[in-house]
Amino acid sequence: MGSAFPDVIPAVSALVARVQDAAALNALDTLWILIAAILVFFMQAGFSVLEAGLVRTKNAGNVLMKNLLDFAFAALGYFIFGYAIMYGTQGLLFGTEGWFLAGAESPVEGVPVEAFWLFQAVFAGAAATIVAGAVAERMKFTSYLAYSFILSAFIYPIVGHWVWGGGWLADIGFHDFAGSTVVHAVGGVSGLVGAWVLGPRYGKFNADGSPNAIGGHSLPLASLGVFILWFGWYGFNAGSTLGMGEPDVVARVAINTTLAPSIATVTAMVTSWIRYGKPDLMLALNGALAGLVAITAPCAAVGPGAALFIGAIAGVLCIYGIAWIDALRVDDPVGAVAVHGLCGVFGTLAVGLWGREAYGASADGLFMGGGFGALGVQMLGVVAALGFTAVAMWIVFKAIDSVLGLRVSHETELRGLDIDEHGIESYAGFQIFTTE
Amino acid sequence: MKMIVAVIKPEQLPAVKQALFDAEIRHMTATSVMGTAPRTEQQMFRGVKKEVSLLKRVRLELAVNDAVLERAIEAITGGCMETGGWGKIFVSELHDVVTVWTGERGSRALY
Repeated sequence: MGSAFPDVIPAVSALVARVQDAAALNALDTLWILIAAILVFFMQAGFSVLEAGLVRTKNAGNVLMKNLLDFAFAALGYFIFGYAIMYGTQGLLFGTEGWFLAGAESPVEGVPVEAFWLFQAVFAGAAATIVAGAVAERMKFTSYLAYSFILSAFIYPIVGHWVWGGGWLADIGFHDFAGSTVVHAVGGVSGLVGAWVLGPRYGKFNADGSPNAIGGHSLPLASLGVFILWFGWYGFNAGSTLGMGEPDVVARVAINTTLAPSIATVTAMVTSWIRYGKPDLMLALNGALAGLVAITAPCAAVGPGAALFIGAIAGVLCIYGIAWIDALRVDDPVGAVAVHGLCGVFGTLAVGLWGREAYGASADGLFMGGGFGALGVQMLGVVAALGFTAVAMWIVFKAIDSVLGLRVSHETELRGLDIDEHGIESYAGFQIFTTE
Repeated sequence: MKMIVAVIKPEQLPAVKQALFDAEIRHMTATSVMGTAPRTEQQMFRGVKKEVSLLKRVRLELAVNDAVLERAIEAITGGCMETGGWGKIFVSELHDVVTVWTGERGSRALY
């Protein structure tokens, strides 16, 4: 009998140790971050079908391929280099510890680093895939792979470190809750630089600079893509609470993430109706995304009323933004620069206008009686983050251009990237009539 | 009056269309057709090679007056040469033309 206790006691203490370990991890917070990460991952599917629907049949497969592969490269790049640069140490400019996640620690108490990494990796994937639309129908596949690895392994993590990894923008009180600047404007500006370096598609602009419409081939696919993105955005924004510790914040983010895109859809539709004579489906869809992008930075720091203002302005802004990008003679086939770049900037500045200290902003915004301080910090952050991104991406695209070549041949562009780059048709058996 | 039928590749259509437009020939019919080619095209489907012998072609039909014929042929040829130089043009006699709305016949019914 007495000899049984020495066997039991180690077993009991091992059990106690396991229970203590499990208690150190917060199951609810971890579950929420994992669910949110999975939702954000699904946004990749949204981007894929949205962009596929907005290009011509001859390039649909190529765009899907780019969306698939840029996530794969983002996950790998963010595992090898990205996480260490973004969250490695508390350096002002970038981190340097935790390559391959070796010895990396989670900045969120109670959440394993693997779960936190996954949530951050799907964000890196989102930033990378925004560009696929802006450079669609003409960028070489191999060059796109090189770009997507560099962006998600180095460029995005550096900006991310400044804002979320304890870098210098975090120090001065720059507030970007879920990434209007860090993810969307970085993706949008990269897309702008990419589209500008590549040049427009054949037939996009006339000699006098006026743009031609090059219609997308599937509105049903594009619409499905926007719904999937909106669905995933609940993970993107509400998941950025990084836990369920404050359910009121999660709930506020979720309602703002519904109201802003809803009113943005309405204002975008009305603007298109007034400007172009008909309620335009594509522009209404872009409006929904514009509202989502704009509310991403302020989603926690504002109340529902301010979310309505932000969404309403974003919806109008994206319609004008699309026309402005055309006026610059930059060819952005899906409107990624206006939606993600311009509305990302606006959303970030909105924190300085409507943000509330009581809701987690570093200071009250201008319209909340806080003066120009918060707005100034937001402006500085936007200029610094996007200035860095634009210069870095210009160097990256130029370097890729000189090594691999950035653009497909004129013949390939006319025949379509599906057949020349991948040797397949996206719609085999269908009679497709290529007229442009 | 002549009937011109041109068979070109889809990727040549924008240039040919532009060339005809520049030559002030603005009436044509374009259809998406399939045509055999001396060399087959190779596609891949999930790693399996697929020989494609009927390839996508665009068939242009233009009815023109004799005076316009050479200009039309030049325009089509020029457009084709810009993009690969492939293409075939067939010219045949055209017996009559009727404009339904006005009842005009023959060369008066053509532009």
